[in-house]
Order: sequence, then C-alpha cells, then structure tokens
Amino acid sequence: MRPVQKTISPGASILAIDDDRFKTARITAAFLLPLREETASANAILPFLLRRSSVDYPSFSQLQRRLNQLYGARITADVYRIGYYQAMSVTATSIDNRFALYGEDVTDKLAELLCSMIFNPVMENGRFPAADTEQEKRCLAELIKSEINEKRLYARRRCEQILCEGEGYAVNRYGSIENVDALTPQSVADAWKNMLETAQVRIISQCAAGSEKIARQFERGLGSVEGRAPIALDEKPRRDVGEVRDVTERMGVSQAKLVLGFKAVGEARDDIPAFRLMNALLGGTPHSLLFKNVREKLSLCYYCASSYDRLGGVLLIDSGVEQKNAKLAQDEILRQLDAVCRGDFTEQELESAKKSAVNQYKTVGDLQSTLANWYIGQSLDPEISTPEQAAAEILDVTPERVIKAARSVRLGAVYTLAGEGGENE
Amino acid sequence: MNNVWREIADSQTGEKCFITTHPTGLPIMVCPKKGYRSTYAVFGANYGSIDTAFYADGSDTPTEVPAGIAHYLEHKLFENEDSGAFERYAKTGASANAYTGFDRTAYLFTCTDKFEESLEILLDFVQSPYFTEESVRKEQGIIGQEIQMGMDSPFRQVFYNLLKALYHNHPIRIEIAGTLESISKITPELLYGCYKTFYNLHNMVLVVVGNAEPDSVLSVADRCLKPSEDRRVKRAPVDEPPQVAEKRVVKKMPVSKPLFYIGFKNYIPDGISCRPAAQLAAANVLLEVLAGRASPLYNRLMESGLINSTFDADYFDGPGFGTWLFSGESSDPDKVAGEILQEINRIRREGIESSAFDAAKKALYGRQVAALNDIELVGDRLVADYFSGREPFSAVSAAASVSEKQVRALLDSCLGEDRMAVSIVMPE
Repeated sequence: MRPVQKTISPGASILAIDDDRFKTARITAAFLLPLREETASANAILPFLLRRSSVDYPSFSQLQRRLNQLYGARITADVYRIGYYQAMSVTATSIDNRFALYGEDVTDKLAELLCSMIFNPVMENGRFPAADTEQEKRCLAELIKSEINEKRLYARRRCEQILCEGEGYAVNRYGSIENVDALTPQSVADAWKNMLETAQVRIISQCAAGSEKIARQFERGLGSVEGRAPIALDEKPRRDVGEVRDVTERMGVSQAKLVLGFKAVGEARDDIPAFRLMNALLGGTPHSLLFKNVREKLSLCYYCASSYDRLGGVLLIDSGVEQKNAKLAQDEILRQLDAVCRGDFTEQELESAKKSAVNQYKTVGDLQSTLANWYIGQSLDPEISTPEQAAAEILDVTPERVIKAARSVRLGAVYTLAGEGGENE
Repeated sequence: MNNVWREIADSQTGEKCFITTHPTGLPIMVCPKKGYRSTYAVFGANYGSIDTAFYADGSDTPTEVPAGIAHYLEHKLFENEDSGAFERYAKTGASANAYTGFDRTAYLFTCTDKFEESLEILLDFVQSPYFTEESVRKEQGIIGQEIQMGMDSPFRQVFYNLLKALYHNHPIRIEIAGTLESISKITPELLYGCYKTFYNLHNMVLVVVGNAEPDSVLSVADRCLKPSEDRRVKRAPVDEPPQVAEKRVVKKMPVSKPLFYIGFKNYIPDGISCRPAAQLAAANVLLEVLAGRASPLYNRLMESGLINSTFDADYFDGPGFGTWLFSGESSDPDKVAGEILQEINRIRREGIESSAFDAAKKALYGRQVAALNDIELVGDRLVADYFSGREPFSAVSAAASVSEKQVRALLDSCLGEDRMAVSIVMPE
C-alpha cells in the first residue's frame, strides 16, 4: 500500500498510513537538524523534556496517570541519526478507538495532547522548569555513559567514530556528557525555539480512522510558530577514506569484539539495491558467507555479521571472538569480502540472499513501528519508496552490480575491544 | 474449513484462534490475521534449561543431565544428516531462528512467500536429529563464545545473579546456555536421550500466526508429521524453600553506574505449577500501581536521582518459579530497595487508591490489546500460554476483568521483606 504524503507547511510533511489491521493508532513527529557536536546535546534533550508533561498535565506523574486512563497510551522520545542529521522524535501510541471499553475517542485526545506537548510545553518565564531540566540532563548524561554497558554496540560505535572522524556521522546522537552538563533551562528553551523554527518536520500518522484531524492539528501547531524558516537538507556525506586505522582498546571483558569499518566510495555507492544485496550475501543472513565460514566452518564465534547504512555509506562487519583468534577472524572476513569482489559466489548463494532480502522488506509493513522507521529513514530523500518497491529493486540486481558494490568499499578502521590480560590470554 | 478445528475468539478484540490435536499427537494452533503479509510459525517443545532432572516415561528414578543441554540440543538440531536447516530455508527466503528459554525451546520462521515449503522444512528438521562426535565437538567453540558473550553482559549477569540469590535448588538459578564446564560433558548419546524424552509430539505445540489458513497448516502437518509415541515426561519436583538463598550479591564489571535487580520470591508449594491468567493480570496491575510511571514511588525515586529511565518492574513466572522484579541503574540500589519496601508497606496500610487501580487496569488492558499487533509476540505468547495451561488471549480478558480484591489478595500474600534479594553489578 502506498501511503499518502502531504506538505502541511514549508519543510514539513505528513505521511498518512491509514490501515485498520492494527489494534493501535500511532503518531510520530520527527524534527531534523544537522548533527553537530556543539548542538547535539541541546537538541537531544528536547524530546525527553517535551514528553514529560503538558500544560493540562503539568507534572510527569499527572501526565502518566492521564496516559494510563487513555488505555496505557505511551508517549516516547527518541533521537536518531539519519545520515548526517539528527532526528528528534516524539511518538504517541494508544489502542485504536474501536477497542476502547467505553467508546472514548482515544486517538483524537492523544493527538491533541501530543501537539500541545510539542508546540506549547510547560514553561516558566520562557524557560523550561529548572527541576525538569536537571532531571532530564541527568538521565541523558547517564544514557551516554551507559553506552559502555553493551559491549557489542559500544565497539560498533567506536569503530564508526574512528572511521568517520571529523564528520557529522561520527557525532554521538546524544552529544557529549560535557555539553549535557552545560545545558541550562534557558539554552534548552532556545534550542526548542530553534528546532520549531528551522527543523525539517516529518509526521507519520498510522490510524485506522484516517489522518485528516491529526494533519490539521499539526498544521495549526506549525502555523503558530513565528518566523519559521526550515533548513535545506544539503549536508552531503564524504566519500573518501584515509589510511586504515587499527585501534585496540582494553576493558575487563572475556570475549574480544572485532569491528571492521568500511566506506563506500565512488559512484557505485549510489546503487542502493546492489549494496543491500551485497550486504545480505556477505553477512546479512544465517546462510551468508560470513556466517557459513567464520562461524560454522571455523567455529570462531557466535556472531559474525555485516550491516550497511546507505545514508552514511558505511559498511560494518563485526564479530565476538576470543582475543587470540581475532586475527584469524579478520583474515577470514577479508577473504570472504574479497570472494564477493572476485565474483566467487554461486548463483544459488545470490538467489538465497535475494530471497532473504525480499522477505525482510515485505515483512516491514506488518508492524507499525518498523514501517514508521522505514519512512523516517527516508526523511532526506526527495521521494518516498515503499518496502515493496525496495523488494522489487532487489530482484533486478545482477551479479555484476553486486561485484561493483563490493569493489567500491574501502577498509578504513579496524577496532578491537580486548580483555585486559594482553594478547595471549 | 475442515471440522477438526475448535475456534476460540476473544470477545473484546475479535481476535480468533483455531485449535486442533493432530492424529500424531501434536497440538496445533492457527491464528489468521487479516491483511498481514507475513506468517510466523513456531514449533515449540515443553523443554527448557530448567529440565536438568526429570522422570522419563515409566521410570521412577530421575535422570540428571548437564546444565545447558536443552540449548545445545537446539543448536544441533539445525544440522541434519544431509543438510543444514539454514541452507534449506535459504531456498524459500524465510527468516528462521530458534531460542531456548528456562521452560521451553522454540524453532521459528517468518516468511512472506512459500509458507508451506518453509513449514515443511521446520517440521522436518526438528523431527530429524543427527548428532555425531565431531559435530557435537564443533559446536563447543560456537556455544563457548555465546557463553562468553553472556559473561560480558552486565544485564545478564545482574539478572542471573539475582536468580542465584533467590533460589537454593531450583534449576532456574543456572544459566540457560550452561557453563563452559557443563557443556564440555555433552555427548551425542545424551543429546539423543533428551531428544527422545522431550521432543515427542505430545510434549510439543505448533503455532502459526498471520497470513495463513488453518487447513493449509493441517495439510502440511499431514504430510510431514511422523507418528509419535505418547511418552509422558514429568519434571522432577524441586525442593525449594520459601526463603531466599542470599540477601545480597555484588559483582564488579565494566559498567558506567551500578545496575541492579531487586527480586521478591513467590513460594510455589508444588515446585512445578504456573500462575493462571487472572493472577498474572492482578500481578501486573499491582506492579503498575506500586512502581509504574504514574506511581508516587517512581516519581519520588526519579526526583531524588535514585533511578533513571531504565527503571522497570515486571513479574517473571514459569513452572515452579515466580518472581517480582524491579530493575535499573542507580547510584544506591540498596536505598532503592528500601524505598520499594516502604511503599509496599504504605499501600498495605493505606490500601490501593481506586482511581489509581482503575487507571492501571485500563493501562494493562490497552497494552494487552496492543500486543496483538505483533505476530511474533502473539505466536510466542500462544506457545507460553499453552504450556502453562492458559487459554489463548486470556491475558486480554483477564486484564479487562481483574478486580481490586484480586490485587489486594496478592499484595497480602506476596512481596514480603523476608523474600527479597538484591543483585548489583558495580563499576570496577
């Protein structure tokens, strides 16, 4: 099903996916700004502050009580990296009106609440309340610090930072602890004003009853912003890579995390379907070359997988291995990539990769959250593409295009998170 | 439609499920979802990591096997004599996986095309065990790394340490994948033994959710299921005292700030049974009232800086175990535990405020309805409910009908200070 996209104000659009299959209604509002070290923290705290309260429910507990009355509706805050942009999003989800036990219009109330939270938040003398700001600062700083808790994610992030040093892509989507600490109720209010005035806005409405009312509410909200002048989306990723940087860091872990970071260079990078298929063939499935060889044949690891982010042109391959086997795993990973570059894969392997990728795209629409994320990920694209289109494009990819895609990636960073016992532990 | 099916419909949501027992002994449940592109199939065995001691059919002495064997078996079933299951799925495009839990093992796939072919693969490979010395040895490297990964995960460590603190003897205290030492004792013979005991179709269930018709599932079942002897296996009852084994466990790991789990043990006298849906609903409402985001406790802890947005409360339940869980990050987990105890006592004393109860009940109902969107979640829940003796969708109706009295009764019988343990992972 092709959703309808409508511009509701300059630089702001609503995508209506009206579908009665689901038991819930879901509205996401995402605000896009360039991802920069100096502004990332002030922007990142905004969705967390906005989702705390509203003028009618001015404290966190009052608002939560209200959401419980709306059948456990949820208002959640997220910050995404979309290429070189930072997307601040607030999402409201509740059961669809058809399932309300007493016939309430839950969706309408929720949309109204969401708009009031975004466009008319609780303020004191033009600033966010000091206690709320302090609490969200603490939570955001703790969120950044806790990134070391998940070793696999941490290692992947470190590899990206090394690979893309100096680029917006390497900036942490939450900013830095220092910049969070420096935030004040006034600086955050300024960031909020700037976000409403300059961000590109993407609303995604998924609702059985239709999205006209929701669109009108956001139109009104955006209309109330004075001097709105949305930025142009013209940040372009860099397409080069320097010398390979090999970095090992130590922590008290028993399993080493190895991450290889590659960048796609040259024109081949624009062939998105070819990259998606190449990634599936190389390390995107449990019958991929990396899974079959690094895990099943050599028994070196539990996971060895690749992932490709088209918006940054970044391919990451990672594995959890014993420290003494890290070199062996790295050699085998590079050998498998080289095999793809040489066209050394069977028709059957490519066919399987296609089927897996197609299956993956076709399932996207069966969950509201994955479908919404699919479209949020296209916020920078001039035209939206449905998961079905992506599936069809994969089927057209030739082996030559896969080879070309693989040949255009350059290794830029090798990151190892190792135990503290030295090389021979 | 073939008349072997019994239909169960949820009156609130209209959600339907068709149930039958196949002549081979396998219970089958199909939950068609209109408009969905994909289909989720899960083939589950009532066999998990806690089944390290059991009475095989007719035997009156318990068989004991190494910890982690259910999980090891799950890995090894993916390899048959002539091919691997993943290689076979590669031809249909289905996205396949498996998981082993404390009380069940599940083999699953999601697909959008070639459903019947994928289901044939699923039914076939799970019924075709093939283990050799060499293939079993080879898996030790892979599972060994999976165990190491778990050892490095502070989230797993803090959780498992809590279970070790709460339980003296119940095998819930042993990690699902076992240990490097326990898995080194696993042999093809032991795997075949466990397979024969637990993987008989009478001890399993097949659940299909999404884009599927009951009769199409049945026709594949007719083709692929092999008659199975009705072996009855009994979980060996566990002599588990009501008291906790240890009050407090601390481990040091590379984390940014202390992680904690605070648990309250529930006493389950026979050591085997599970809670019915009505009691689970009451437990969830109680947790929402006590520690949900609207609760005074949550807001007090947040305002005093003792918790952050990772804080969560949950009821964790299975055969012979049941635990109230409070988890998160805190600079002072013991103080959080103290505050939780204080709030439990306050609610016991002052009673549950009616408006808070109503809001919590509506919230639980809404979340149970929302959970019906996700075919994988629906499928996994149907498996869990089946093995626990709960009716399909009973969570929805139980949430809609839970009473204040039920919640009060739980509050009076559970969450005692003497049943509490705290597990902490501290920064190094």
